[in-house]
Formats: sequence, C-alpha cells, structure tokens
Amino acid sequence: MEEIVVKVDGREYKVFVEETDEGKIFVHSGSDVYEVETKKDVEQTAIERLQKKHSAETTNEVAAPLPGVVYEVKVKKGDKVKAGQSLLTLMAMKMENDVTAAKDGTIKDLRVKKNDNVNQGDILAIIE
Amino acid sequence: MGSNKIKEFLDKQKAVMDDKAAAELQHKKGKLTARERLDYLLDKDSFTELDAFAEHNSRDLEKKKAGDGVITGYGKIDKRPVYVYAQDFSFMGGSMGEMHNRKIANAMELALKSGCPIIGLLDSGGARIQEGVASLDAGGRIFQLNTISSGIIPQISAIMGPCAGIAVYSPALTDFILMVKKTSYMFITGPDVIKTVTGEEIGFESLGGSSAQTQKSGVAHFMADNERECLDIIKVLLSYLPQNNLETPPYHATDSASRETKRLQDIVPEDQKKAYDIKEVITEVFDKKTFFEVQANYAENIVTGFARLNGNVTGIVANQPKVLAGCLDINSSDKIARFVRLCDCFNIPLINLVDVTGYLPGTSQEHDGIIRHGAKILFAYSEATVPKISLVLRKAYGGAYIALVSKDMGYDKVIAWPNAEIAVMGAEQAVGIIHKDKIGKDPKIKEGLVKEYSEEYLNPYVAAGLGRIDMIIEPRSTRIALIKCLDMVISKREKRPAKKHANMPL
Repeated sequence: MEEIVVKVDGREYKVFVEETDEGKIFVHSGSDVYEVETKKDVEQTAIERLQKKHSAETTNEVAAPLPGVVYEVKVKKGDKVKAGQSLLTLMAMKMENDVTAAKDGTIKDLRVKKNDNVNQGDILAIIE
Repeated sequence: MGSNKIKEFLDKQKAVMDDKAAAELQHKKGKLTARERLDYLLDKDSFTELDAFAEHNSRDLEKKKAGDGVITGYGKIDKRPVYVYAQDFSFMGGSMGEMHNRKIANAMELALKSGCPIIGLLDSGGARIQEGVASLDAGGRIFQLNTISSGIIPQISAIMGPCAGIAVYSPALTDFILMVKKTSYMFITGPDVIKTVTGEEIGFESLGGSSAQTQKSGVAHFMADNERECLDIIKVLLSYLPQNNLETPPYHATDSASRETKRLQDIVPEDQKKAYDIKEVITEVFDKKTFFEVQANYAENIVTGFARLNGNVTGIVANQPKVLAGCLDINSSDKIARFVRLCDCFNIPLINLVDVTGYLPGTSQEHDGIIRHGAKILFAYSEATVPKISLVLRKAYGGAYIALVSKDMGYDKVIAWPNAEIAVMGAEQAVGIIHKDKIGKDPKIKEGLVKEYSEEYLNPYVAAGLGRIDMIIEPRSTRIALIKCLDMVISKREKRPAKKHANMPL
C-alpha cells in the first residue's frame, strides 16, 4: 500500500493505492474504495521503483563497525564471498571483531592491510 | 417497554457490530479489522465495549458512524483484565477526531483507576483535519494520560497500519511499541513533506517501516511478520509484567533450581579476545524457553530482555561480545537505561551479565553526547530500587565496571567467574601509563611489566579481597549461584527521600 496525494480540480486529496495479488489496483480515500484501471507501463514503473528501493538498501560497501586495528585479512581482491562470511578481523575494545560480508559477491576492492588503523565507518572493502 | 424500542436498539447495535465494509477494506491489504484484532487478542467472550454509540458532533462533517472510528473496552488476556482500544481504519481512515480521542482517553482513565494494562491497536491516518483544534486538544489529553499512567500500569502500543504526525507521540510515551512488517509505518513528516522540504525521495517503508523503526531508530521494540504474530507477542509480553506497579510479575515454576550449567565453559572462550554469543549463555542459565528479548534488532551490542529464573521474572542486561565487542555506546546506553527503568517501575529484579572493556571511543560518539547518554545508565541503575545482581563472566574495566558491577553504586550481589578481569583498564594501557619512564624503547621491558600487571591485577581476587565481589564461582554453578543470590535479595525494600521527581540526564 502506498500513500499518495492526488489533485482533482485544484484540491488535494490524500489517498492510499493498493495492488492486489491478481494485479487489481484499488484507491482508498477515507472509507471509500475505488477500483481503477491502469496501463501496464504504469504498473511496470511502480514495480521498478519498488525494486530500486530494495536494492538501494543493500550496500556494496563494507564499513568498519568500530574503530580499531586490522588484525587479520582473510580474503583478497577477486575472491568470491558469501553473505555472512568473515572478511577480516579488527582488534578493538581488546577483542577480535569479525567483519562479515552483507551479501554474496566478489571482492572488487580491498582497502586495508594488517595493522592499519581504521575509524568507525571507514570503507574497508567493496563487494560486487 | 415497547418491542419497537427494543427492535430499534437491536438494529443500532447490529449496525455497530457490522464489520463487513471494514473486512472488505482490510483483508485486501492482508490486515484484520479492528474487531477481528480484538477477537484474536482477548480471551473468548471476555470483551465489554465502552462508548459504542459515541459519534462526532462536528457541523462540518456529514458522515457519522457509531463508535467514531475506534473500538474501546475492557477484556481479559490469559484471564487477567486489560483495557484496550482498536482504531477502525474503515471509518475516515481511523482518523482521530475529538470523540474518537475522548473514547481512547476514557478507556485509559479507567485502566489507570483500576490498575490494569492498556493496549492500543493503532491504525489511523492521524488527526481528523475537519474537526480542527478540538481533535488536537483531545489528543493532548491522551498524551497527558500516557504520562500520568507511565510507571503505574503497563502501556503497550501495536502499530498495525499508518501512524503519522501527532499520532506517533502517544505510542512513543508508552512502554512498548510493536510493528507489523510491510503494513505498518510511523513518522512525524511523511515522504511527501520530506520531498517538498529537502528534495529527498524516500518511500514509506524505508522512512518509517518496521525495520527502520526497530533497527535504525530504536523507536519500536518488536517487529512481527504479520498481525496475528503481533497480537501473540502482546500476550507473551504481558505474561512477564505485573498488572500495575503495586504487584509483582506472575510466577511460574518452569525449570529445576539445581540444574548445573555445564555448557557455559564451552560457550565462553577462555581467550578473552575471542567473541561468543551471549544469548547462548542466557538460554543455558535461565529457565528453559523463557528468554524473551526486548529490542532485539537495535543496539545489538547490548542484549536486553526478560527471562524467568527459578520461576521469577527477571530483567537481563548483557554485553554481546560478538557485536561491537559488546561495548557501551550512545544507542546501547539509551537501550539499557530505558529497560532498567521499565524493570524498576514494575518490580522486576535486574541481572547483569558483564563482559566488556568499556565505552566506545571516537569523535562521533563524543560529539553526539556519549557523556550525557552514558550518564543515563548510571542514573537508571542508581535510581532503581529493585534487586540488582551482577555477574562478571570475563572483563569488567573502568567506567563499565562502575556502571554494571559496582556494589557502591547499588548492586546488591556481585559474583564473578575465576577468569574474570576486574581492573581500571587492560594491562597494555595501564603499564603504558604507570611505567611510562621505565619502558623506553626496549619492548622486552614492557612485555615483562604487562605480564606482571596481568598476573597481579587482572583477576577477580583483588576485588574479592576488597569485598567488592561477594562470590567467585565456577561457570557450571552459575545458575545455582544466581538463584541463591536472587533468593537472598528478592524481598529487599529500599526507600529513597521523597521528591517531586528526579532530573534525569536526557
């Protein structure tokens, strides 16, 4: 369900647009519901937008979760990695902290080596 | 009485109960109607509706419906009385008009008077614009009642649809917020306003959906996959809470008091640098299948939650070594302070599982105010008068030691494992400061001094020798020892000087 503002005769209305599994589109305004016909391409852009929204949330960048010193690098450039796999460990707060891959992919860039100091949020590697 | 009058009444009542239009609207969205939600939440036939015929009295609005878009009343969950309100999205988008708000306020007042939890099932587009300032004012009454009731009765808010603008602040004033994946969202200003003002394009889900509010902002405490699961979580949550601040949480015997915790030695690595999952420790120590995590997705470096210990409900605060080394930072400070104060309100003893070197260093932490946020932990624990027990598994250094272990700050019982390191700081740093002149450039001298310091100070015996630790125990006796400690202090009463209220750092 998506909330949008529509303009009819210069007045603005807040409505909810809803797509059912069968591909029907309903517009909710207050307690009223209207079924609307749509063009296929309109639906397509809506789906594309949803997908974009989704992909924007899984980032390629592996950032340092906390400030510390790189203790062990377990992968090299070009390695294939799986989501959840440990890429390197950071010595911080007197502990070895695992830095893991957020998604499946290939190590495109590795920006740190053993004994490097890193700050919280520094990009350590790029996975694509 | 004429049978006509009775028939008229029955017709009106039927109209109130008529759920058809609502069902048509809600089911399509994968949502339940307000009545269906209450049916599922409450014990069978336990619901008594209040103000069923209340309507708005606005001159600018033609459309009326008995109930004015919210169902309020009284019922039972697990045979214990609760007050409830459920917004009906099918009438004017569940918008909060004056009467709608007064109905909610009525239910809240009754809940407060009778010492029963209040549960809100929210599904509303926000203030009813057509009713203007009158509806806003009645909203203010809800906020005030939320605040007055805070610490007296448990208040639970389930967001089961939109919750925007002023509507978010009533849930924010309550003890727990639950959200449903994909169908619920909360925000102050929606995507369209943000786009107009800042030009940023962001969707409803990314802005205020359940994952944003449970993981990023920490506004909501629980995320449910669907509505039934959400209502189930409310039932489980209530099983850990008393009806009000004058009662203790319900007791259920669930596990043996003499069970040894043999697995702990394998779960917690002896090498202090190695991480582990503290939740495995919790499930091994506390009564089987009773651990119920609160805010599981926010500031995961600290684990908070309820679990029973020999049948008694306890509130657990634990460092999670496998996330950010279990450190204390701004977000986890907020999480701890809020949880500790909740437990103190509702007579739930606190048990800390400590394994941490301290606060997270960094410019952003300092500039975002770790001092005032971190102070909340000290304030919350010092203020709490419930039994407070602390167990040191491995490390407890410096500021974190004071916050989570110190007897002088009010912990009633402190126990430690034999390999616990209780000190002002780690050996390397300490030696670097104490023996700055001696070390020079020879690494061997430093090595020797570090070893010396570690052997002398990084153990539980220095603290035990000073009476700072009550017991040193083997990991396998952890459960038995914690039960004994709880037994000793569960009946304690602590009085504080009367005052209007404290000035907590915020």
